[in-house]
Amino acid sequence: MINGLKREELIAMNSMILHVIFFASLGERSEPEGALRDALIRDFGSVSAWAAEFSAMGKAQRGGSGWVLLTWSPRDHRLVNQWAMDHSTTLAGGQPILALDMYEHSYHIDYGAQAAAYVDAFMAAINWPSVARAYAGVARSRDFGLTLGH
Amino acid sequence: MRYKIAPLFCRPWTLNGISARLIESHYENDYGNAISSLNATTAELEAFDPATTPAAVIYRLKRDEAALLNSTLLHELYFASLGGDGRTLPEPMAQAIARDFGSVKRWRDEFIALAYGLAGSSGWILLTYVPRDARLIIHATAGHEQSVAGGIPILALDMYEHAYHLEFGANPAAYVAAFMRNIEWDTALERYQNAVNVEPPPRLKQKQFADLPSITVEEVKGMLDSGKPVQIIDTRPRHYTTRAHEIVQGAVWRDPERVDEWIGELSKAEPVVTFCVYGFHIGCETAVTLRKAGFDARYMVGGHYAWKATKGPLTLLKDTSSPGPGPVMQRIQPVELSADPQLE
Repeated sequence: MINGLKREELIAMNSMILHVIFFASLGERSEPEGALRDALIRDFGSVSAWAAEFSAMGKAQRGGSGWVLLTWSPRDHRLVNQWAMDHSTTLAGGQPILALDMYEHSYHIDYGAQAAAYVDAFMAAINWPSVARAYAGVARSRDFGLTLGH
Repeated sequence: MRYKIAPLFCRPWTLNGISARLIESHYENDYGNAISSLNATTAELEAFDPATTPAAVIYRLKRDEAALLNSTLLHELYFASLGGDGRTLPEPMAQAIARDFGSVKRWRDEFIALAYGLAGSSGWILLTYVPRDARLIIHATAGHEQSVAGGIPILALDMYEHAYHLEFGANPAAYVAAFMRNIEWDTALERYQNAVNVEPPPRLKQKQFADLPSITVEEVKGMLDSGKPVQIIDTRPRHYTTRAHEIVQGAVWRDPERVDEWIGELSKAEPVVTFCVYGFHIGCETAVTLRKAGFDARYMVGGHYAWKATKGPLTLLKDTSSPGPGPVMQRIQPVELSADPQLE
């Protein structure tokens, strides 16, 4: 009973947080710049390689529900793309800075089953200045302090 | 193996408040995608070499296969759940639902309430026959891959947002109401009548004790709780009791190899329950011996561990070292829960 309630609490809390990040992820057409651009190139090879993986992860979720998150991993000091289901399977200690909502409610009204078109529209509408602000806020965070010799 | 697509079961143009466009998109894009992805996954599974493929890859493929196969099956059941007027339950269906849910209204309220729980998320609401208990249950799944083991779904409501968002937007209540108005109960009954023919998983059967009366741990607990007199004899083997610490509350331990020495303590006026560790032999044999001597004896199914597994009350086992004839033995008193302070 208590765990059932706490599970629902976690799901609703994460749903709230991830939706906030999702809405903050959208804006006018822009490009990643500065430290964020450098980090994407460092961690994925190139901005387009990052975009290819991120959008492919979104398109692969069509017909289901879940999130695609660009997340800062303090443990490894790097950005990763991660998939999250049930609002709750997020990287431990990770800081999501960009969120693509692949729950069908986010696109079915406008795009029906055309999830790929929705993902393409999202990729074109990423608010990079907003993501860069989020990145600047989390990239300073250190790992858990558990690394030997830290 | 290649899975073949099944034609739509329901006739989309006859549905009341659910448009053909919604069903067409659902069938083409979601059901169709499940079939084609399932076949692609199956092809990969047939092609991999178990000797060289990493276990994680195989696991991922098998997970995908289970989810896609269930998506296929449940979508077919969903389309077959639609096409009726939702109101007219055939009598046997109404009786089964009333038996397991109290009333058709109660079933309906529960089904709808559970569906609301998946609003804005994804999953299935299923009416499933469970052969183990020969009854219907309603359950929700958070994805395609969850199901009740051995259960047979007979009615499926798709709560993935693709099932309604195109027409109903963020108003799942209207969608659920429309689904309820279109349930095809005649075919649900057909599936139910097929499902009830499925045998539950086989239970322990001991041919040599087939005619011996038994009693369940639940029934024994019921007798104790209601204060019915009953003589409960723990006949676990002596070698077992030397390392056991506890005994069923209300029972006394007696050595199964020395029945003759303690049979005189028992009363023929009250029922006797015997049991051993797991309920295989010794408890049964003791019951046979007692019945031959004229006692109303039966064995407790599953024995000591079934009692423990159902959280039956236990007490400290003591004094098994010196049971024997003579003054040590006391007459076994029928247990009356309220009268025995130890059981309070």
